[in-house]
Amino acid sequence: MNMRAKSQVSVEFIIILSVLFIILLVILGTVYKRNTLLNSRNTEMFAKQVALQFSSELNAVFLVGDGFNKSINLPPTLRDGTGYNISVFGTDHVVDIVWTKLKTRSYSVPIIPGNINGTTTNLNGQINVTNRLGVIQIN
Amino acid sequence: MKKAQIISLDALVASLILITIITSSAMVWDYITEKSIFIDKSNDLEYVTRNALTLLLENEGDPYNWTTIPAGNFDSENIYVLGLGTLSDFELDVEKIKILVTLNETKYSEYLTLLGLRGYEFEFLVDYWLNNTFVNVYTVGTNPAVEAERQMSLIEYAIVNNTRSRIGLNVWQR
Repeated sequence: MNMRAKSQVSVEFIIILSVLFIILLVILGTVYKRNTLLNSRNTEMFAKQVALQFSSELNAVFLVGDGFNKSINLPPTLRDGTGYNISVFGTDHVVDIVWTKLKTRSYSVPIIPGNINGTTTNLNGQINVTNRLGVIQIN
Repeated sequence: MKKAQIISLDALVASLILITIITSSAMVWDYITEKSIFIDKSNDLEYVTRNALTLLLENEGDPYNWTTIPAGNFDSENIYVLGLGTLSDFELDVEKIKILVTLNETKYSEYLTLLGLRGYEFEFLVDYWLNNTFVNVYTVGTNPAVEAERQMSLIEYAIVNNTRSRIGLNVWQR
């Protein structure tokens, strides 16, 4: 009788332990997924920050007028260390930023100037932006 | 035979409480995420609307005489900035507004590109201050769709055709 009771406790214990373990796995899986999502949202925010800052500077150089010159410093990576490419497409009136973290993503910010010359793709580091009679020159 | 303690009512209640806490946390998390995405998209919409309105109001355009460009060449290759301004502050060129109204049917998609509004729709309104009320005189773009997911409206004031005017820009996403 004593033996039977002991073995029953053991089987029930293992079953319940298994169920709890499965629940724990599900919780850990969900937390991992959400954490990944949160990290990717953070990276998106950092990318937006860089793109918005850059587009504001371009707009300012255009609106101030002919002869205005500004030096813009684009960070080598986003704040969380993710690499990125930023490009200006004058005829589309947008600044595009592309970054890869798990998958490649992009974000576009509108800009006012449409006539942009010089280096317009894969911009990085110290950039010189000049307004020459309404034409934005990027070096 | 004694039952094991582990399947007692206590364990059941504890499990229920745990599941309730986890489910509530997940729901709150989802709500916060959705809310932050909504706020983020609203901020984006406000930014593109403000950018488009600044583009329209705060410069003469590039080239400044873009109204002379034939309709066939009305695109972002020939017009760099669709500004409506004049050399006078707070004054808009009514001829430029009239051209936008005239070409609205055929060049609406070009307007979207020139205003940096790809992926959005817009309506630009010029209302004159007449007899102590604003009267709509010019409309460019299309009416905001009823099913618009989100919408942003900004208003500025300017002089158009020597008349005090209210300039409105509605931008929305389907």
